[in-house]
Amino acid sequence: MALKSKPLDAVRPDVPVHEVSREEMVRVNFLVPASVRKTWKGAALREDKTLTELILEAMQTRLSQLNQ
Amino acid sequence: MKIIALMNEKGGSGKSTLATNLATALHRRGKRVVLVDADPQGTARDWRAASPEGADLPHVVALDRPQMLASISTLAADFVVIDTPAKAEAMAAGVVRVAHLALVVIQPSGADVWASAATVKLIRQKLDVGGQIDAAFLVNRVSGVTKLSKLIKGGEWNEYGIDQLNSTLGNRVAFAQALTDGLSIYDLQDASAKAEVDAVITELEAARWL
Repeated sequence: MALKSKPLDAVRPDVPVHEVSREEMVRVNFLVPASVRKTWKGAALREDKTLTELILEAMQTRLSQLNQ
Repeated sequence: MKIIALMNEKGGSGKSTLATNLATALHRRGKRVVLVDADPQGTARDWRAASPEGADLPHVVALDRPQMLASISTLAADFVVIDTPAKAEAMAAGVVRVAHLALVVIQPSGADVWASAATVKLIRQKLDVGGQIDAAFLVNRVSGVTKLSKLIKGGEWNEYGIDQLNSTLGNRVAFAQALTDGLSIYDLQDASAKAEVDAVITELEAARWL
């Protein structure tokens, strides 16, 4: 009898391995004037992004400048 | 707090039976234990609902969304034992993310061995990204006489680099009876079955996994 374990690369591809290393998400709340939010939201829409994506991108740019 | 997960993609391997008895074993040793039923099938919940009033068993809580796994750390418990769903989907991946110890439960069959690969893949992913998790195969429903049992117990098939516990559980009616009665193996008269669960606990303690 030659029972072998299944090679891991033969495992079905939809096993959500990325979920194992996914970092826990937390919520960030802050207050801004309604006009500021409107401006940001409009900018995000023009770039086909969500407001969250736009803010994250802006923060990443800002932090990378600080680290240079 | 130690989080112990009973896992395998294949249904019927004995995850719930093991979960109820390991949780009870730790509970009877004076530990604060919560059994988390993360399987939509709800066997651990049904088990507890079938328990006689006043039975000395651990608490069971249901957890139906992977997002809720983060709240496990807020439980007042020394041990959290998680009974996982069969399919290796988001819940199983989330359980691997939070667990300190994964016991991959297999029966002496090719189907169980092959199905375990999906769980091993999740465990391997956690280790590959620098996460910490102890893991071991636990062979359930072993028969002393079949070639297949001896083969699986021998561990030669295991090429994953994941340990296999020396302790095994036998193919005993008492396990099914205890589950059906809403009790643990410690409430029945089968001394061999109790000794097997005790041996698993002892081996895990010796490995400093508990």
